[in-house]
Amino acid sequence: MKRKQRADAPGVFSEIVKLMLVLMLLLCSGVEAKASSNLISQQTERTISGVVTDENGDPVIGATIVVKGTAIGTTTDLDGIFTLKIPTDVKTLQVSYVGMVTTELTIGDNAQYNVVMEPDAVLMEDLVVIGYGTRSKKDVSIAVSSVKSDELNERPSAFNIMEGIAGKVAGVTNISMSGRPGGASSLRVRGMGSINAGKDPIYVLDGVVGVDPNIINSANVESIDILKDAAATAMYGAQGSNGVVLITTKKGKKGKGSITYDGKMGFGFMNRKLDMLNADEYMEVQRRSYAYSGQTMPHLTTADEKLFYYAKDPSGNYQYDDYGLLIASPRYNTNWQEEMTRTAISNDHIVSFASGNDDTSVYSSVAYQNYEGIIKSSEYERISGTVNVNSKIKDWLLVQLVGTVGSQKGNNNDMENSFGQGAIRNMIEMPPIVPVKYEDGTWGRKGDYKYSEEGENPLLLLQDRRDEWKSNFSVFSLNTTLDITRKLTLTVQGDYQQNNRKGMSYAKAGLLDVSENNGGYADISNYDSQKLTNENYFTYTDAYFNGQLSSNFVLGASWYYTHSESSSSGSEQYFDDSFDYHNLSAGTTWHEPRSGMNQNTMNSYYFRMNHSFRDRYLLGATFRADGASNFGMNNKYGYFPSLSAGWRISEESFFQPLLTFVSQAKLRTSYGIVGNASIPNYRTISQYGNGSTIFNKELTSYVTLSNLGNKDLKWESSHQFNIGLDLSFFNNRLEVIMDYYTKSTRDLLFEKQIPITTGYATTWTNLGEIRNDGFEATITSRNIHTNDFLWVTDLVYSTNKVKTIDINGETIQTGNNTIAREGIDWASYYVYKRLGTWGLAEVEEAAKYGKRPGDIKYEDVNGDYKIDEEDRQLMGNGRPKGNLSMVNTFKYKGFSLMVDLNYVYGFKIMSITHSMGENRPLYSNSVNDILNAWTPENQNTMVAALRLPSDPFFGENEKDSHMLHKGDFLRIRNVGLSYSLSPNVLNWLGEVNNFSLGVSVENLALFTKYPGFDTEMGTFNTDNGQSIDFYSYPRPTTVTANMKITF
Amino acid sequence: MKKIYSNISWLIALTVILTSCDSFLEEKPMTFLNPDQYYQNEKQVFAAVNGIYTYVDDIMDSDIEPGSQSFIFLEFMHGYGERMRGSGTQDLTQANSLLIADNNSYVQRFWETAYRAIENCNSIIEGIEGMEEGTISEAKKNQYLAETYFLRGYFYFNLVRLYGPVPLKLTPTRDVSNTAIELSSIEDIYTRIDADMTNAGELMEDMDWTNSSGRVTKGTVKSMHAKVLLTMAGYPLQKGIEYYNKAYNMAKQVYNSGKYICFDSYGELRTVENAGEIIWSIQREADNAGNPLHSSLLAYPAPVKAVSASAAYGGAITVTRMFFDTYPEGDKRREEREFYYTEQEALDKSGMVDLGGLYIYKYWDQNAAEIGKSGANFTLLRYADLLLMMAEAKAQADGGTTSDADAIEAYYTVRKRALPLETRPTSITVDKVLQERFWELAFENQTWFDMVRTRKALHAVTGQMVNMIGYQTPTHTAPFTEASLLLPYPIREKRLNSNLKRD
Repeated sequence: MKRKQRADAPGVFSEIVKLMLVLMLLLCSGVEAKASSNLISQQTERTISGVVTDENGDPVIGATIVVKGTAIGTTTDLDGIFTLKIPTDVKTLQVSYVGMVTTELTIGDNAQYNVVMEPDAVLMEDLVVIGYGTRSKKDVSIAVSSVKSDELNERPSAFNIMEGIAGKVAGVTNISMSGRPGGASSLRVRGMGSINAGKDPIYVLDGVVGVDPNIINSANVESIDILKDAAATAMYGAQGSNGVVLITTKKGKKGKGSITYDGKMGFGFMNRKLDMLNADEYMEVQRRSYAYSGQTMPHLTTADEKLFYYAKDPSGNYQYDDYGLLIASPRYNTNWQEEMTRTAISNDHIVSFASGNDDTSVYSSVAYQNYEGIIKSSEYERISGTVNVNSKIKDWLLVQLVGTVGSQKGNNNDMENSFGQGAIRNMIEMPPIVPVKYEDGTWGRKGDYKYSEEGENPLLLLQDRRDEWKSNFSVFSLNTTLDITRKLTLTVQGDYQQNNRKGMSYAKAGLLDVSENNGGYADISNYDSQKLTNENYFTYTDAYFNGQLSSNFVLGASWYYTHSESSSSGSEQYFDDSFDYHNLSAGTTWHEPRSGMNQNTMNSYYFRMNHSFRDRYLLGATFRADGASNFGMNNKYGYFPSLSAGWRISEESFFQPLLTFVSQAKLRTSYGIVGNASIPNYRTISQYGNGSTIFNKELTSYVTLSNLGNKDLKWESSHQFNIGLDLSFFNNRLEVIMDYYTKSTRDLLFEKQIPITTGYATTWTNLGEIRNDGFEATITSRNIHTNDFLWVTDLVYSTNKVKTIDINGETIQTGNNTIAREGIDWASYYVYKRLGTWGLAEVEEAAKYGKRPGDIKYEDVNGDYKIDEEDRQLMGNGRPKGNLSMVNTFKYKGFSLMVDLNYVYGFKIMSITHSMGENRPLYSNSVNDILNAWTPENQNTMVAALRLPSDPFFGENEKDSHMLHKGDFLRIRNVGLSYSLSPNVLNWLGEVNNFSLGVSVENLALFTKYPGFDTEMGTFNTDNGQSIDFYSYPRPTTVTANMKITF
Repeated sequence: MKKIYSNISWLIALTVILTSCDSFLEEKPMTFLNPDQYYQNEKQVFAAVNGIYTYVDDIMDSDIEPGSQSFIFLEFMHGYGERMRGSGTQDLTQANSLLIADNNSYVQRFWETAYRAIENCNSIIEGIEGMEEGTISEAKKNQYLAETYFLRGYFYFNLVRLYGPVPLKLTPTRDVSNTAIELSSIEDIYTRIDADMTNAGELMEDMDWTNSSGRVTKGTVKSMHAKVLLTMAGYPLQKGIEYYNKAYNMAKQVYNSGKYICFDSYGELRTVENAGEIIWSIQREADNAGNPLHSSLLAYPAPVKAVSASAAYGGAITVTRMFFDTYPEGDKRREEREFYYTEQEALDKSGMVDLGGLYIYKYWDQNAAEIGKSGANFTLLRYADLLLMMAEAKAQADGGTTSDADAIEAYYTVRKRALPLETRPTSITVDKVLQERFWELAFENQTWFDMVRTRKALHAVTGQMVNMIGYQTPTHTAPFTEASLLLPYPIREKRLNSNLKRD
């Protein structure tokens, strides 16, 4: 088989499939030859021959030639030549080949025919990666969605593949926790599949299982295929329950080599600001607080020249008002949000090289990305290089080497979500009457006015504190595919992943609460992980019943080994700040050194078969067994089967009348069980925690019981049923894909609360059931399609609901004042209902609760005159019910305009930021709503009367309904305009094959009633902090210009 | 050639696929020890016993609100102290209104600390008892067992005083098959505490009364045991004279040992550690295990000029003027910078700074004021407390008044340090001793427990002892009732164990 392959093969994956098909057909042809020989005796025959070529004149190997309506047929040989004996009365032959338009050949008297086949654009695109192989989309009976390179990179400011996918795939949502560059971002496939175990899908890069998606530059990605239903993900068994994201790296193409430069430069602005008080409003709040408590503001009795201007007579004596108080006005009116933010510049450049010949193709690239955050001094940088080499070393041996190396780094000194001195929180809370710097050059601090809480100047924090991290990463994968027989191949893949992450921080001496008493404070931490994986699988492809049934089998085994080590140390009391964090021994007080080690192993066996009968009945089944080290000795292995079926109704004869209207119709259904093993290691073993304690000023080691092991801990399994319908209308002008699923996760890996009398607060156990139900629809409509003008609308819609089905009748605290109970939505807010404030007419009633007019009034559900646990009420949750994306693309000649809208509804945001802005009036600056606080004249309000901190109900902050805000929003996610030079101009330019320019605006506008920076944010972590706003990082509006040129 | 390679690869692949080794999936942790394979040598026991002490200092723990240490909560229960800064949550405010909800975080904290410590004690007792001959010396075994028994008794003592009937759990948890443990009666719990203390005392009988290690000594055990017996004699068990006598005898053993003294000056209480008057204290150290009290008790709002380099997160609690005024005229304890202060020298030595109010000076740490970090120990038990217990027990045993020379000497030792000019009384009454306890041990986490076991309060106007029930202290918004004597069971625990019900 040294002959030329087809010249324009789109990629090695499809080549492999074709290769397998050829092998299969060659084999089949033997069978069919026998069959046809039986026919010879009965009919008059003639022999015809011919050559089948593609549009480039290259032979098409293995094309099927059949006499229409019969089983008589053959396949082309390695030169594309076929010879066939046919009955003399045959007038028409059908020539077909995967990826080509099936053509009919009218037979005349000639014995020689030349057939030129044309590629089928629609089908070519529709080859999907399904894990351990690929499959033609039409033969797929599982729920899998693909995102191609162009779509993924449609929004140039998308920061990583997770953001690039946002809005492209129904049922897949991007949870972006902040607007910070490099901030936590992850994907959720079909809701939330677990409680305490991991919720992230597994990312597979060119077959490498469990890759960190943050290291992947989306410009290197050829396609992303997301496996959604259990029949698809069951191939990944224990790692599949949260969905599988298969990423395929670009490959070199056969032919002339190409060099592509793709560059983007962006400018980010702060679009939405919080409505905070200005200096005058701030003083009004102070005045009312002092008045309520019958006191006078201190700066009116003792002059505070630092912060206030005073009325003075010409000789410099203070003037007093009628009450004998000084007359003062604030000296400064600082807008801290303006002071802290900037225009953030981002750079993203990649140069790639691609080439290929008959046996080998190479793709390589180097990329540099640097994103500034809109909060000053926060940034993220990534440098990476990628190589993808495919080589057919022998006829029977194909080798693929994929490698990515690089490093990333970031500066997080802004510290969102901070309980300590966080720059973002301080930015919001700094009193406007305090300046960034006083006239004498000293920095303003939060506590400069009486009662204000102590807090460091956020700009000084940004300047004097560094909190950096960097990581060096590499992924290497060597994949060999051997043809054992023509039908059977063996794939052996070895992967190596490595990540060294280092965290470094230094705070210069003198930062309040950070390094004020430490004289410089440095910490360094190291984390080093290695992952080795080995995948081995056989693929067998065959056809039966005269090619009516085509089948594919996969059988394999995998080994996974992960090992990580960590260490940290630090020191303080530096005599000089110039060492930064580079010389820990320069500090005189040393921080406790720490280190750790973690190891995890997994071992899996899997089997899959797919059948397609008469091109219309599809059947698939998988089975996987996984063993994982982090489960109990009694339950190491879990077993995950699945079954799927599809019916291409449009192939049926009864469907014929409809074909003019409905061009394709396929019904799919599947059921399967997948698992989840993402729990911490060593939970099945009882543990002593250790540390050092003090006896008479000396450190001494100690141990205390820290974990109660559960030896019976076993797999969490997720049972998913899926039914889907793929339709296309009007000759594929309108395509509709719909899916309904119900996913029930049982034996949930759950960190169960146990009475503390046991000595432990929790233990890991398997518990009950939660259920995700959802509906997904993807509609692509080519509204207008003329030679010059194209208008395409893509609609992606999904819903999801998580219900708690069985948790032993218990109530589970799911964190952040949310609970789970059987029959209600998972993690529903469970808080008091704020009715308003007690009025002057309600003095007696209020007193029964120990309150007075002006204090907050909660609903006393059981009327026992106590506001306690029994008065909490369910108040919705933080997960959107539905998510709709609409992308309209208009193309006119070389111009392309894209408008990407996103509408999300049905969720509530718990804004700690806003409620803290309402109940800490003297400690901090407040949100504008506080001016609506209770007064005798304004009793119908939600905001308590302003008072001094010594009041028992000052700052009352019970979690209540007033903290919850409707989160519904419509975002103009992106508007982009681009222009590509026409082929004529390119010809004139000579070497340039492609040139395009574009400009786009990301996050152009957000329409919402929510008063915070953004509706998409979260706190603490992506697992349970979604829609909790705790001083989250503002999301910028970014204008990006991009240029792409290919030589 | 191809065939050969194919066949070889076939074989290799099949071998790989069919190979499975259990050891590949076995976990081999290197970063922690497994309690199931522990108690192999003396050092392991030492580390485990040290672990129990880490729960003793939990009263220093707080949430994010400045000055919200568990220690502070108990000082709001009695109502003689007030808070200068906002509370952040209602948890501290509830102590003022005596309406403590079951979701109050302090209610959970005390419970949690005690039971975590007790589980460690149970596991250690079982572990040591199961050790093989020769793996630990008899002396070490006795010492560690004694410390463990003592600490288990101590944590149950805290639990029963705060919550009344609680689950009495004396064996380690093996699995979670039965976690809903029933309540034991107050009587049964005290019987166990008494037994644990006795056990600890016997194991330590031949050991030194004191040492400077900061660990529990024979002196600690006997002194705490005296407190247990005194409490058993009073409320709620009211075991009466027999136990007052037991308490007196136990305290007298410590007194007779002659190993402890009352410091000459109150200043030494802030500077001398693990010796002299100090019987037992939480061990602290500035860099690794700081003490938050110096900073928490600073003046709030912060004075114009800083008096301490510690972060200005003060205002946690201070003495009320009314309580302060009950100290007798001429009492040294009311002098500036003995127990309380209103001004302090500026950090930059530029002169005295007016604090704008009266603040607690007991936990002033000059070192912390200078370097910003406090490493001061926190005293849990001191000799003055023991002397007053001894006097009180005897006065009770003798029917309310005693002229026992030792009891009078004990009382007078404490009294004359405050009022050096006062002459030795010929007899003392229970009320006299109780008054003295209020003044001497104010804001040392003793007052609330004294009130509960005696059902007596110090009248903040008259300075005389009155019945606690029905009396309203200066910062409380309601008088004490029977219901105010115990904390509710924590909501979390009630949800998980339906046995936690109070009649």
